Formats: sequence, structure tokens, C-alpha cells
Amino acid sequence: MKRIITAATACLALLVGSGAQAHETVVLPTEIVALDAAVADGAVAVSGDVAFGGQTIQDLGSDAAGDHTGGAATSPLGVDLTGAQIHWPDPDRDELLFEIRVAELPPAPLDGTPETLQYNWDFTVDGTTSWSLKIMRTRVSATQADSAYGALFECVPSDSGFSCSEQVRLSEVEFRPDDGVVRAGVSLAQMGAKRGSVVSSWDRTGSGALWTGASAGGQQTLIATYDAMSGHASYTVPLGRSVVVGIAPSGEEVEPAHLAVLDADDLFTAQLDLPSEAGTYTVAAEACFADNCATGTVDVEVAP
Amino acid sequence: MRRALVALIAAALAAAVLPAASMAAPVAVASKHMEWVAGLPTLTGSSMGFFEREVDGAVRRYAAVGVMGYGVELVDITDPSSPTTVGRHISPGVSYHTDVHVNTARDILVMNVDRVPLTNVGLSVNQGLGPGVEFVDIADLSAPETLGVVPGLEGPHKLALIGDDHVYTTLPTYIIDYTDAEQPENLGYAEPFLCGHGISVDPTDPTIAYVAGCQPRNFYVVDVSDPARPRIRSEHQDVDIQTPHDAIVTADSSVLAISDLRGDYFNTQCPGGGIHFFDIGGDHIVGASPDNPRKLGTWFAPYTGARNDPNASDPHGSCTLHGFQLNPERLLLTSSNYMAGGWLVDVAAQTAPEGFYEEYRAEPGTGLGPTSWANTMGNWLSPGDLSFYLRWAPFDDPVYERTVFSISPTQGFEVLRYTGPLPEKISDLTVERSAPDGAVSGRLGRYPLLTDQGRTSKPLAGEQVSVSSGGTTVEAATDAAGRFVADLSLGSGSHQVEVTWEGDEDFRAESRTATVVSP
Repeated sequence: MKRIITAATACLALLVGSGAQAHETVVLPTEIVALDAAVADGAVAVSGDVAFGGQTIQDLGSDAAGDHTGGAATSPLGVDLTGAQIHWPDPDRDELLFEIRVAELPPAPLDGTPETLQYNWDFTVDGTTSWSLKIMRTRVSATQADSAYGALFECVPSDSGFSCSEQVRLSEVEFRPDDGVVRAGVSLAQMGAKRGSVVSSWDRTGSGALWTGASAGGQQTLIATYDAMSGHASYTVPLGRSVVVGIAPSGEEVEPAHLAVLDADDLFTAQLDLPSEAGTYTVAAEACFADNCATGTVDVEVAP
Repeated sequence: MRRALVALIAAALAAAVLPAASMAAPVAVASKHMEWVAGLPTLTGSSMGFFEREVDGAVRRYAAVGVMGYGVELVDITDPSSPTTVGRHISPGVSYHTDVHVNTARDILVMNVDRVPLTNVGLSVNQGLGPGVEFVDIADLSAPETLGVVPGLEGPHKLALIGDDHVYTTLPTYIIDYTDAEQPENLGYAEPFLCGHGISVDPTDPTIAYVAGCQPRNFYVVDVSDPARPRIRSEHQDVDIQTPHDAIVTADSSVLAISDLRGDYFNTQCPGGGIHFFDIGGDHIVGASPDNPRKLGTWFAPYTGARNDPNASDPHGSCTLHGFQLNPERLLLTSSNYMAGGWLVDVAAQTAPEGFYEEYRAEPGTGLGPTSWANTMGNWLSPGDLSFYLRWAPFDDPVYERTVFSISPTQGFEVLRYTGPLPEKISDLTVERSAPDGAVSGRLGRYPLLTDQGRTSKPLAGEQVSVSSGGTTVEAATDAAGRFVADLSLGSGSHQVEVTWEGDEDFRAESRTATVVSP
């Protein structure tokens, strides 16, 4: 771990998002901290050090604002979905961040005021396992306040329906009032995923894969779906960190393609073929975690 | 409207102070294997609970009957053929759908004063006089006394007692702590998705409750280990359940039954909704559990209405499944189907190709057509009935083995007798996981019955059980507490053990396979 994602380092962060829907979820950029190249033993020895940033936010889908049940009257309840995103923010943790964008966050329940809203995100992993992610602001029942609640239910289909059982209570659940984001961290192990796994939308209710359910009329005598996204793009879990290096005569474009050896501390080494002609060469390295890449170059002299 | 309301309330209260009158035996519109025993027609109601008392050295049994309009009648049913009102509680509120429960350990009657469904105006009295839950001291049956009332619960429709000190309401679900029944505390809403019509606690694991959800198709398994903070631990969906109504588990926690109030009160096509059965014990489908219920099948009442046409509206009105209950010791349920009357159903096995209601098989799609699990054993339909609930009285007395109690807004309180074949009882055979000194131990007992101390599991003493492991079988006798110890001289480690009991004339044979660990 070379950096810790904190507010103090947010100034280094990429601001990611798209257009009007941009918000301030931060992902640190990947940086090549050190890069060296030297001729040795008939080859060009390359070494370096990388600080990998997380995957940038992947927009999986959007939902029109204001299309929820109840219009302006219910929007302040947090029911109006606007988008769905997933990303892997910290390469040092095998955890995906599921983010639900809403027009307005639900209010924090007051003492004696029942919480009525639950966010549900139903998805499959590799088309073989089915999951329902449930998030609530407090899971309050009047005088009984909890912190934000998130749980992952595994769902098993049957001949006539399905059963979803709570598998894990999620510890990282956050409601971000400044940017209208509800998010929960789910580890790959918790959802039975691995690098390269594909997370796809799953419409188990017939109304959408991502939906806001709430008791209707304030009487909790009916659970109604207030807004739903019918589906979203699939998300592929990044394969992980990688560093590729290449060499080209100085002034020419380098196309890094040679895979470097990366250790647990993100130090990398590689051996490039020694150019046959003497001169100044540029060695380039490209380090990536998912789509968060950085490049660095260094010159090396090849003697006659 | 208000004047009419007052008149209705006055009429209800006037009825309450009159002695309950018995009635002549009605002629059944339809019946098989059931006969009418007695009735109290003025006790038009919607629910009942039971309790037992020792009075002057003799055991007496009672039904607390929720009466539409004014409260509860306490009826002595020690002799089921002669039910007699011995006490009465006039509730400060009035109710369409009184749900009555008795906390037998505390001698407290818990009843609701519910909201009147807007659609049922005309059938009921609009209350507004104290909607909520009422706690009544019934230590003195002749003078029940209100201990406390929790108002402001949006007219609770039904109640579920969770442990000895909490009650959940439904539609919506509030949590009430009545540790101090004189000052019961409203803890507020349960979480919003704990929403449904019927809640019941697992009879062998009181940390689990089952909820028939308020959405089509849904039901839930809820962790109630902390009754003040119930938590949904799994949710389930079955596409065939249109209107989940009640969720009840067999005495041995092997089968979960979910009823379907298909079409609601206004459904006029018989048979309407059915009961959907799920294996939750793994007895029928490997891997089935409370959180992984596996569908066994569905039962529908083999009744197609006065016109004998499942596709036609019945002129008599409501025809769907309203309430049901499971026998305390048998895999036998009672079903109440509004104007289709009451039914007895053996839920031990899938529907047999031939049965007592074979005549309905002649018309595909009528009654037995969609039925795939359970076998209908008997029925009773009184003229003008609107059967709300049939109940077994869970007392340890043979007089109740064939007796069911019916409550109806039109017929009142009735006592019926089942005359058909009676399935054997099931017994509670348990095996200890630990086998100290290589000896396997366990207990053979009955599933809990109602006593004056609450629900009690009585032992089956003096019975022989066979305990086998690794080719060795040892016979052991149960002691006065139902316990047995079989010295198999098991070596250190885990062992697969099978315990069997051959049963007797009342109880069916039982067998349990368990892994035990010998230190």
C-alpha cells in the first residue's frame, strides 16, 4: 500500500463522471513513481515502482430523473433513481464499490419516523450465481437506530420462484448527501466473483434490476416499487495490475508490449532485447489497473 | 353515517350482555367426514385462542373467542359438546376482524382492534374508538380487566405473539413490548420489508418467524431472536402465490405452508386460493431448509361452488382461502374458505390419485385438478357460512382429537367433529450431538401441547428406541422424562447414528439420522 485514499489526498484525485451527472467520488490516478533503464548483460534492464490508482467509475446505466412514482412529492424520499455504477476503487483491496445515483437522498429518519425505503440491486455473476444487494439508510424502526445497513443476499432459483438468503452484512455502506450517491462495498469473495468475472443485471422482480422499494402510503401495508432501471450494461471485474514496457529510438513512438514482472510491492522489472544499433533510446512503461493507466519514459544509451 | 355507526355499536354492545344461546343442529350444505356438534350463534366473530386452567383440582379448557363488534367471549369448552360462556370482555374499541391470542404463561389476553377495510363497509362497524392492541388480565375469568392499550397502530389487522413479552401487528407491523402489560410500549415499525398479513413463529425454533408477505408471491423468514429487532434473513418468491395470507409451519418444522387469499374477499370463483407447501426440513427434498424452502405442491379445496363450475361466479359470494391452522401433533390442517366452508387436509404426502374427494377428479380443473400436495379428508359447510377460521384446540385430551372449533361472522362459534380416518401423531425424536463415553443419548417426546403453564412438550416414557451406528445396534428405553441413553461404545470422533422408534397405536414410527461426536 503506497497511498491511502483519504480526503487529504483528494486533491490528487481524478474527478470522474460524465457531464451533468458528474459527482465527487474520487479515484486516485496511477503513477509511475520510479523508472530506470540500463544496459546490462546484453539486454536493457528496466525497473521501476508504481503507485496504482483504482478503476475509474464505470457507468452501467442511467435512469431518467423524475420518472419515478409520485413525482416531485416523493423525490425527497430518495426514490428517484438516476444511475448505476460499479468500480474497483482501491487495487489493494479486492472490493467493488456499487454506487446507486439518486436525484435526492432519503432523509435521515427522525425519532419515531419509520424508514420506508430500501434500495435493491439485483445482479448475476458470470451468469451462474444471483445476488440481491439491499441498502437502507438506517434500517430504523422508530426508536431503534442503526448505522447505514447493507446486506448481500444470495438468490437461488427454484421451479416456481427463487429464495434469497442473507449471506453477509456489509460493513462499508455510505449515503453521500453532497452528491446523491448511495454506495456499498462488496468483496469479490462475498459475491463469488474473481478477476475477469462479469456482473450482469438481473430482473428478478419483473420490474427492473435496480429498484427502490418503499412502503406505500406510510402504512407499510404494501411494498411498492417507486422507480426501477430495467437493466444495465454488464461490468467486467478488472484482471488486475499490469506493467508493460517497450523501447524505441529516441524521438520515435514507443509501443510498450513487453510484460514486466510485478511484485507484491508494485516494484517491476523487465529485460528488453538490446538494440543492435548504438544510440539513444527511449524506454517507456505503461502501468495500468483496469482503465487507470500511467506512462513513464526514461532514456538509455546503447553503446556501439 | 355517524348515527348509523352509533346504532351499530349499541346493537353490538347489547348483544354482548345477553347470554350466548345455543342452537339447533344445522343441515350442512355439503359435508363429508364431519358433523356438527354444537354452536353459539351470537358469537359472530373472526378468531379464537385457547387456554387451560386448573379449577378446584379439575382441569378446565377455554376458548377466547374474538367477537365482531365488542370484544371477547370466554367460553368453557371442557365439554366441547356443551360450550358455555363464562366471561366476557367488552373492548373499549370495536372491531371488524378481532384477532385474539392468549399468553397462557402470563394469563394475559392480547387482542387487536383493527381497521375496517374500506371495501368491507357494511359488513362491519367502523371503529375509531381505540384502534390498537389491548392487553387484558384474564386471571379472573368472570371479570377480565384491561391492563393496557396501545393506540395509534393504524388498525392492526392481525397479531403474532413473539416470545412472552412482544407482539407484532400486521398491516402494518408494529412491535409492541408488553413486558409491563399495564404500560405496554410501542417500539414502532418493524423494518418496512417486514410487511405482510400473517406472521407465525417456528414451533421448534422460536428464533425464527415466517411472514406471508404483502407483495404478490413473496414470503419471508425473519430472525426474531431479539423480538424488539426482527431482521429479515431470507426472502422467497413463488410465482403461484397471488395474495400471500398466512405462513404456518407443521409441529415438527418440516413443512412450511403459505396460504393464498387469491382474489381477496370478493373472489366469487371457487375454490379461489390454495395452500402452497414447502419442504423446510429436508425430509422430502435434499437441501431444503428454512432459508431454502423447496416447493412440494399446492392444495385447493375440492369445491367449485353452488354452480359446480370453477369458471363461474358463485351467487353466494366470497370463495377463497381465508385462514388455516395445523394440528399440534398431526400433519393435518384445517382450512377455512369463506362460503366454501371448512376443510380438513392431511399434509403428510403428495396428493394420492384416489381419495375421499375422487368425484371431483371427473372434472379437470375443478378442485383436485390443480392440487398436487396433501389429501382432503373432510369438510363442513353450514348454510350461509362465511368460514373465517377452523381451529384445533391444542390440549392433551382425546376429546379434542377429532374436535375442531369454527368461527364465522355469520354462523358464530361452532363445534364440529371429524369422523374420518385420523392420521397418526408425529413425535419429537431428538439426538444429542455429543456422545460422551461413546454413549448416544436423546429424547422422545410429544410436540408441545397447551397446559396451564403454557405450551409444554410432554415425554413419551417407557418406550424402546433402537440406536445404530457402524453395524452395532443397541436398544434403549426412555425414562420418565423421555430421555434415552444407548451405550454403543463409540470410539473417539464423529459417527453417523440412526435412532428409530417403531411408534405405537397413536404415534407413527420415527427415525432420525444424526452425526454425533464422541470426545
